[in-house]
Amino acid sequence: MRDEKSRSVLQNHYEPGEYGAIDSTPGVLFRERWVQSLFQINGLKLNRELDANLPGVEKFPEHGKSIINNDVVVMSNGPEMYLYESGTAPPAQLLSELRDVLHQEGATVTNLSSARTIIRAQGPQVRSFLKKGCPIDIDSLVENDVVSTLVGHFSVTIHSYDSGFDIYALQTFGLDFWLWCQHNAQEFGYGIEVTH
Amino acid sequence: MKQSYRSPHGGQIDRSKLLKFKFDGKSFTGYLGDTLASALLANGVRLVGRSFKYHRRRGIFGMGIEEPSALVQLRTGARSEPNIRATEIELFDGLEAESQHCWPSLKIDIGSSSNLVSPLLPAGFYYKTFMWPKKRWMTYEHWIRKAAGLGKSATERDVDRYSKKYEFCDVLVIGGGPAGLAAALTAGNSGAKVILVDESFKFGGQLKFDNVQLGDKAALSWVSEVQQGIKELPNVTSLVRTTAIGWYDQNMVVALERLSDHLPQPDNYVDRQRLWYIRAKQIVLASGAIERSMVFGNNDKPGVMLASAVRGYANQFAVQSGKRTVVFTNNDSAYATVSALNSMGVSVEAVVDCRQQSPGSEARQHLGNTRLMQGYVVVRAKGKRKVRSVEVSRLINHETIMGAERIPCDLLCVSGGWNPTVHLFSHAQGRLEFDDTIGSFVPGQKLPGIQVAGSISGEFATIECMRQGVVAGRDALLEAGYSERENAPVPELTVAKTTPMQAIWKVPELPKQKTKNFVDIQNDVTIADIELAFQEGFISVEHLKRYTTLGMGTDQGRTSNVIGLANLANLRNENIPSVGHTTFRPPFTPVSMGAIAADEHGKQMGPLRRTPLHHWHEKNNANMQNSGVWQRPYYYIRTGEQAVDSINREARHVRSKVGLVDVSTLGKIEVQGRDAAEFLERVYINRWKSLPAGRCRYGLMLREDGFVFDDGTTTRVSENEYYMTTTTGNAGPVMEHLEFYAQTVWPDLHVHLTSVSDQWAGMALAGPLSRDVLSTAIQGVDVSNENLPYMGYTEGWIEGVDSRIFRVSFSGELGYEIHVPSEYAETVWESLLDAGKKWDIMPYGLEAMTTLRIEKGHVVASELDGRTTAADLGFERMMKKDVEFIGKKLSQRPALTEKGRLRLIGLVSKDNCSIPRGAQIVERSNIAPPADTIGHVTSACFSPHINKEIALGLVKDGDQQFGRVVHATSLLTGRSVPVEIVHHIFFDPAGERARA
Repeated sequence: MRDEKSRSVLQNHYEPGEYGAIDSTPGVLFRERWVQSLFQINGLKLNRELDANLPGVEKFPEHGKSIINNDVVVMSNGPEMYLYESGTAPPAQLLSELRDVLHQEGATVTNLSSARTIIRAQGPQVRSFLKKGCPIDIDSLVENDVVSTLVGHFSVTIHSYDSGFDIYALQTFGLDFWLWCQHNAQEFGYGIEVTH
Repeated sequence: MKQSYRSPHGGQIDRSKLLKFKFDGKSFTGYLGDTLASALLANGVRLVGRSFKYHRRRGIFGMGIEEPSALVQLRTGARSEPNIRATEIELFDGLEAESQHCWPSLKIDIGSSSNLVSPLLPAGFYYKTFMWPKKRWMTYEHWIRKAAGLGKSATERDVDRYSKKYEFCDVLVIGGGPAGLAAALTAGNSGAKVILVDESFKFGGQLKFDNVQLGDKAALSWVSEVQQGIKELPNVTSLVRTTAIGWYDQNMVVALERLSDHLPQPDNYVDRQRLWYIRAKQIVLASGAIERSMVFGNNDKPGVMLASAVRGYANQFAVQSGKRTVVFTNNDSAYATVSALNSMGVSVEAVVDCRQQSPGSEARQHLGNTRLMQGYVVVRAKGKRKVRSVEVSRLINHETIMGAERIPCDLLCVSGGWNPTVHLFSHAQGRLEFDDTIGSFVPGQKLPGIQVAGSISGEFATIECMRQGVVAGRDALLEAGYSERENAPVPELTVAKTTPMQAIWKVPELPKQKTKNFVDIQNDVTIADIELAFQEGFISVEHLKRYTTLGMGTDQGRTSNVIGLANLANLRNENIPSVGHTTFRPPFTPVSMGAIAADEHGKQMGPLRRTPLHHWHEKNNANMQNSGVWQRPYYYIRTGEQAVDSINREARHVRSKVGLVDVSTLGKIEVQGRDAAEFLERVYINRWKSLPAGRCRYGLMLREDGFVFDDGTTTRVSENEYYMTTTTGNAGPVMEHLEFYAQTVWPDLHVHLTSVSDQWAGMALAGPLSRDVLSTAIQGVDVSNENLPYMGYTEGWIEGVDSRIFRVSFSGELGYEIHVPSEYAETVWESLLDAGKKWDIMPYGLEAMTTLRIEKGHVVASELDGRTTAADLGFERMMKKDVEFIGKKLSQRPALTEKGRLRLIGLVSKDNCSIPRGAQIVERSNIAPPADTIGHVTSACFSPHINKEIALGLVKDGDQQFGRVVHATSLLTGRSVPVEIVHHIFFDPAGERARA
């Protein structure tokens, strides 16, 4: 659940319901995700064996892949770069824990917990929807793939999971990205789910 | 009107669905499955347009994209669109179309008087005619522009939706005729991801029109069978109404899908058109061929049509394009038109075949008992409004004819051979070769990633096209890394022998014939025009095209280009390959601006960036305006205030009490690593290693060329962690600049950079009471001057939110920048306002902030304009003498250090009039431009604190000109204001207030 002091950039623009050309079921389902902590880890060599375990992670994913362990998701989002997401651990505490381990490895950790608007997109037409703005081969994405690309005019990181995609957009562009999503999903019919 | 030219049976139309439509206001009917052209022909409408230059009467000539004449204004109001080919418009109920380029009506067109004076209007006449007197050109241009162009663009906003789509595939098949279908099924059977596109609304290509028999089976049943096979393959996407309009690098093809053009209006939420960007590992180009015309007298009259079109209208739409027909050909293909017309009961008076040899066996079967005039040519078509008869002469050789026989008819079907549709192959830089046997260009050497199949290769026999399709599909799937499985079925039949085409690029004229012999019907280019161009030295094909307009316009010379080239070759006494061809460029067919723009208009034109406090600003009467990509609050207006009142109120309040401004747009970068200090030392002009943790410092960075790049404050958060701020506009470029150096120039430094512009919201609390407000709001930290001095840094909690507190000041007042995680910005902002109520705190906007910073002489993008050096801005003493940094060497070159450079100064208006922003600074007023300027105004405002109009500017040796009165003159408005040059810091020059 979102912290009550935290405000989404989608406030007043996020109304659960069904919209667009709904036939029987929406072609695309959207949900804004809120994560407690999100960190950028830079400079960690691939396949590096760590002296100590990180919370929720035994190893780091291969390039362009993710590893999911309960509420922890680690995504490789560039050479020696990882996004580390935790659904429950508070950022200050986790930042300290991560730095304790990773500074010894020469890696740095930056708090991005408020920096992204995360839209979960799923449904039977979700790939067709993404193809309207994303110039990469969406069909080639399989579970646990991570790509940094564009959707519309927006720089995003896309994490492919079993039934859809989590799209990480810059928070300051979050509202316009959300409007883009709604506009481009209209032809498929789309649903907006209650945010958890 | 009754469809008197529609046969009672046959065709591929749905006769149960009668559709009403209007052409030039008159009501007609057609059937579902018709095109506008077929429906007009069915209703006996022969005159559909006027020609571009001479306003000659024009009818329907072709059947598809090659159509040069039947261009109409389609629909009305916001959906009105000019120059749409009637041959490609699918009929829908309620369709409205108008003829274009005629006045007052299509039948009586005043413009046709130009036909009477046509001898005065040869190719290029306007280049010669409108040269004198030179000063009248603007008058000529006015009228030339009125005369130019066809149709009218809608003046209302486009109401439809458009989109784009990115797709990837193993094999893209372009063309859904026999070759394309065979290729798609063969490739699809292997499991490869295949996309099949065809411009028509039905697959089948020429087979739709030709009633071809494959042994005992109709070719259309083969089409159905293959289509069914394709439909069952989930890995094949079939797109009708989709034209591949261009090939681009890396085998990317752009295709236009017309999703709703066949409907009265698009369904809710459905796009009208969609542009596909398809990247294919392999492309099978099966784009077919287009029939050529023949050049003879009056070959543009309504009633002269391509033989393939007449055949198509008969077979696909059960439409008789005429009642008495003559066929004029130089090849076997036109003979099928005879049987198609005969089967509808249309009389074919004669087949005029210029060849001496007999046609092939299949052609002879089509001929039946029709009169064959072998070795004859049609010399001219006759008839005032449309074809009434043709004159036929015996062809002795290419230049000589003998005798003339008049044959009454209302329809002349012509076939001058076929031009393969090689455009996309040419886009892909494929070389074209001239094939003498077909008299046209075909793809030359094989291109990587592209297979060609079917009539594009110059092979026109159906069975052979199918076989080529199978081979191309197989080659493509193998190249794409798949294994061959099952090929598309191709009947085991032998190809009937045909008699070769005989090229005849213009029919000789009768003595005193005096007719226009058109090469390019759309642009009214005649043989005489080509001869004139040649005489005047335009002997290159590219020059010929531009001088005569041959091959321009919406049809791009599909029926005429090769004929024009051949005639030029003849004039040059060379062969066609040595003359060459013009360059084919995308798009292959016209594309609407809507499809190109897709959804990138209105709110989607460019994304807006909003600060985390945007919602609060909107709720609280902020005047929000775009500032670059950002939306920022300019001021918060109160009842009864003008904008200037609000701005001055806010600025005064900050200097007298306390204000809060949103500075979240600043760029923010985390610089971390063991060598972070060394990295900053090399990036900035000033020192960083000496900065202790918990302190901030102002920094200036240069570009490599020595000019100032950006500035901002950077804070040492801990031993190896720095928090850098940049100007709003340079956040991205600075990040890129730093990454470039970290990754490629100094990879030995242990430093990592992360943009945190989105992580941290920034708010500046400024004013003499700001410490009182902050100390009330913050927990866990003492913010007294002793614990948090000027340029100090600390961390604490506001409303329980982790906050970074920087004792920095942009306003010149005692102030703090408070950075908090973005999602908590509103909570913290509201908490500060609550805490500040006791001290009468108020939010202030960008305009007040600008006033405050101008008063303090702080530079922003207006002064950091890429042309100023550190010394120009008064920062020369900050520059390290003993340590290298980016831009140091080039900042010391003579041109950047010599006297006479523009230096930052302040300006005060002498007459208290506002100083125009961007004004040039001149020594005397009222000098007519071009005046010698000594500088320019960079920023200007009214200063409520010194009660004067002030400005910042850059003036030659400005720091030595204090006290001098000059003039700020706007070249745009002509307004000139006397100004005194002063120091650029107007307020609290000692900086005591910020350090309080």
